[in-house]
Amino acid sequence: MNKQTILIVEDDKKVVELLKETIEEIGSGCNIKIAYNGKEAVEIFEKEKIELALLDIKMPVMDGVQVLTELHNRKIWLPIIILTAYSVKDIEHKLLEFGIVDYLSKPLDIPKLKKRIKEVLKNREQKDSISGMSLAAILQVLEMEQRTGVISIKTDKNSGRIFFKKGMVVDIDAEGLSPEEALGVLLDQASKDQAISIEYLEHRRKERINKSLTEILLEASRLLDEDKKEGDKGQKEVKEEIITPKIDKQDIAKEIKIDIQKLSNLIDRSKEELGDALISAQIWSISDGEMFVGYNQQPEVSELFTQITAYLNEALNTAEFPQLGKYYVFNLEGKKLSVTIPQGDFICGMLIDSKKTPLGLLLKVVLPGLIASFEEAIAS
Amino acid sequence: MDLQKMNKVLHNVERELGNALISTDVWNIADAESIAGYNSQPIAVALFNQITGYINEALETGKYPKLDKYYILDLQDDKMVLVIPFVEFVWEMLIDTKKARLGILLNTTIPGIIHSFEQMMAE
Repeated sequence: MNKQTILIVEDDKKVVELLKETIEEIGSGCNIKIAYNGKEAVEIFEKEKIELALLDIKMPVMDGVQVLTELHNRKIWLPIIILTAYSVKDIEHKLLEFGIVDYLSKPLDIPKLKKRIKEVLKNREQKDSISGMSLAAILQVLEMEQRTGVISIKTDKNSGRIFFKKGMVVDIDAEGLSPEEALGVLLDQASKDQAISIEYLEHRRKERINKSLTEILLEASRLLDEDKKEGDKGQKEVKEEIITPKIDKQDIAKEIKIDIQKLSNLIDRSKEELGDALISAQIWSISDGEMFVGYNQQPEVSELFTQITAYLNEALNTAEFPQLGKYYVFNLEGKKLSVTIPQGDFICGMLIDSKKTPLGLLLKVVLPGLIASFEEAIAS
Repeated sequence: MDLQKMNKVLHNVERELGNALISTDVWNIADAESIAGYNSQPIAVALFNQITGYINEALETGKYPKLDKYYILDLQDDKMVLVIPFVEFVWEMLIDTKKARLGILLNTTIPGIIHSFEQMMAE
């Protein structure tokens, strides 16, 4: 935890000292930064990476709510614990909109504050950064695992957050759009080249969505379709410049049909059966190259073997030769075997150490089982 | 290439695979003309000459390990094609997987062909 930085935003110097002592007592080895008003805080947020902010509400120059608004506008997101001597009820609805971690009344309950700081710092340390997996797939995994936290997505064009509680998406925040529209934008953007980060932390985000994940994915798709049609009619609005609808219902349906858990099980099974002979394994979508699950993933492999598979299909078809069946295997230099299993719109690719796995065992025993599991995962 | 030896290896393969061997051809990459074979299929020669070239190029462009001794395509209708490129030659076999004893094919025939190929080229 020693590289993490906590920002105290508080105008009362006595409270600042108390907060500093509290953080030091936790023994986290964190850097502590101080801002005595909201303006100073925003300047620090702009310049430095802050893992947690303890934010007072009533301050001179710029108050705590204005700081939150600035952070929101600048798309800077981090866990914030609000400290206030005033009735929280009055501003609760505003605070909830910002997805803050907690708010504590003054005089401060120090043990509770310590507990919350520890939780947040621990979660920030364990922050998962995911790339190469579709956002829809991530949401499905979170739903299955009933996790609570926040997904942040930041791109050149858009950014947003998805709040989930016990696996249910409770709110989606992007560009002031409705949750469904926001999800459409984020799904679209998340399918590009940026990483998605997930923080598993308790938050108090107010529930704005009470639909199942499947329903909201389909609704997001429908709204994007409508926006696209309106754009085609020359009724393009500013909002449509933000939304670049490239996801259609088929894509969404594809993403919600595939059983990620079964695909993960397939990778696990490959690891079990091939042991240390398995160098890497991954499953991706042919249409957009998006990676769903993998082990020692090699991002360049998906594009290469998507192209090779397409070429083989076309060449065999053109020559009126029997079509590609369930797999193909390349014996490669360096005693490696590349095994490719195309299945509908998906490909499972594996790289295997040929010294450690006899070809007969691979083709007669291991592959048939993996292919059956892959077919089942796709069909489900 | 010693064609007499080549044909001898080919007969051994025919004997080992029996009626599981649908067709086989050996050709020179430069002209894609079959120099030895059984139920020779000029279309397969042209096709796998082209496919082998593509795979080599794609792997190289993708900065992936290059093709080494063989590749196998599982095909529909219980067929499998085994392709063994060796320097300027390619050996291709179309096999009926229902009839083939894959154990013998994978553990004996393929290594045997590769060994024979290597020996012939070394001579």
